[in-house]
This record gives sequence, structure tokens and C-alpha cells, in this order.
Amino acid sequence: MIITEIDLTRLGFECQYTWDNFGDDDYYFTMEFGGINGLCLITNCKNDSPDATDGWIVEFFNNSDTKSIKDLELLEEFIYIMNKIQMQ
Amino acid sequence: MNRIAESDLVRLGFEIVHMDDSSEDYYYFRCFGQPYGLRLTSCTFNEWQREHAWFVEFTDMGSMEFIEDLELLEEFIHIMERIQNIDRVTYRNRYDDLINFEFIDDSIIMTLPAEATDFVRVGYYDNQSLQDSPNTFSMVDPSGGPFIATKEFNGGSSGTDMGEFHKSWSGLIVAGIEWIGMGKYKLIVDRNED
Repeated sequence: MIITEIDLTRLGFECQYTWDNFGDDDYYFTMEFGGINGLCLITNCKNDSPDATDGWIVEFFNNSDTKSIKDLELLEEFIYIMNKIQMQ
Repeated sequence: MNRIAESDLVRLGFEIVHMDDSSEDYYYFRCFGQPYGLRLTSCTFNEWQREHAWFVEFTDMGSMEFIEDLELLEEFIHIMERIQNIDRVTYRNRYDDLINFEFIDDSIIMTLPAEATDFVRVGYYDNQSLQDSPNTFSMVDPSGGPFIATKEFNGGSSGTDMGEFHKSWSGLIVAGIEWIGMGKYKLIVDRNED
């Protein structure tokens, strides 16, 4: 199941509008778990439209790589487990 | 809370590394998708404490998170393994350019960033002609890897098994390579039935 902008809003992502190096009007949503000490998730679509029909990709970072989630159910499970870790 | 014991860590696949530091701490490491995955580290602060419980920390660029509960650790590992199995993976060449591979419509698309396209090596096998098929290759190497080749280029032995790059692509053998523009190469793959 692809991730839509409505899903991201429902899951608590906050919209930030940014410019990238190429001057395209990319949209980014960011969500942080636990404030500045938490894990940062970044979603983006690969074209200029926030209504991308092929879904959105959620990426999170660690020291050496980017991981991506494109499936809504997997994203919801990941957010659920991250919230549980934060609340320990 | 179900505390984490050393036997749990072994069962979950953590590999022990004894860090011979001044306080004789013990560390365990488990890597997801090494060397490009998320690193979990478990440790105690001293030897006696490991008889009681361990905690697992994982790091991102700016923070550490801790998991002290065994069931939570098992849930976290499970979801990380599922994320690891998505059909996309990233590697770096020797110039630190990010090379993306993504499984789309029965093929694997290799995408190079613009700065990497000037240094790509491509190759042909004996009967293949640049004139006949200028966008078809039997080998592609984006500046120091990852090296991809077909069976023909390898002299009859197997083409590259894409399982080298992504666990869930194991047995998918490169049978053809096409340049499709904008830094993208289409890797046509066959399922190895051996």
C-alpha cells in the first residue's frame, strides 16, 4: 500500500517547504521522535507535485546509509515501535 | 519488563566482540545489512552487571536510543529486518558517490548521480557491437564498483548474482544491461534455477 500525503498528515508529520540545490519545488515532511535527541524521518516525493500518485517515500538515516519505507503498513509499524522505544 | 540476558542476545544473532578497554567492558554488535545497515550495540558497563541485564543501543547521526526490554528488542529487530528487505539498496563507489539499485517491474534499475556518470566503465563481449546496439552492454562499473557483468562478459561463467547487493535478490542473475538515460542502467535479470 503506497503512502499518501493524507497518511503522512494523519501520522503526525509536519510539512516543511524547502528548496533544493536544483531550484525545484520539492516538498519535504519531517517528523522527529523525541525532539532533538530522537530519530529523524524525512519523506519526499521525487517530483514537484505534493500529490504524487506513485506514493511517498519515508527515509531515515544512520551513520552510513539511508533506509527507505514505501509501504504504509510498514511505516505505521515502524512509527509504533519507535514510539514504544521512546516511552520506555 | 522482560530484561535482556546474554543468552537472548546470542539467540537473536548478536555476535560477541570483546573490547579490551580499560574498564573491561563487554560489547556485542549486530549489523543489519552490513556495512550499510543500522548498527545495534549492546553492552554492560561492567562485568557483574551482565548477569542481570543488558541494554541495546542504536545510533543515528545525532542520537542514541536504548532498548532495555526483550520483547521490545525482538519487535524492533523484526521491523528492521522487514525494512531491510525492501527492494531498494544503496552502495558507494570509490569516489563516495551513492549508487542506487531498485527493483522495478522485473528489472533492477541502477541509478548514478550526475557527478558519477563521467567515470562509468562499460564493456562488451566479443560478438557484441557498439554500432549494432549502442545502449546495450555486458558490463558496467561505476568508478570502482559495484561491478556488474553478464555471463557472456564473464567468459561463460555466471553473470553477477544480485544477491551480492541485496539479500532478497539472491539468485537473480544479470543477463543484460541497457542504458536508459539520465544516469540509469536497466539490469535485466534471470532467476537462477540451480
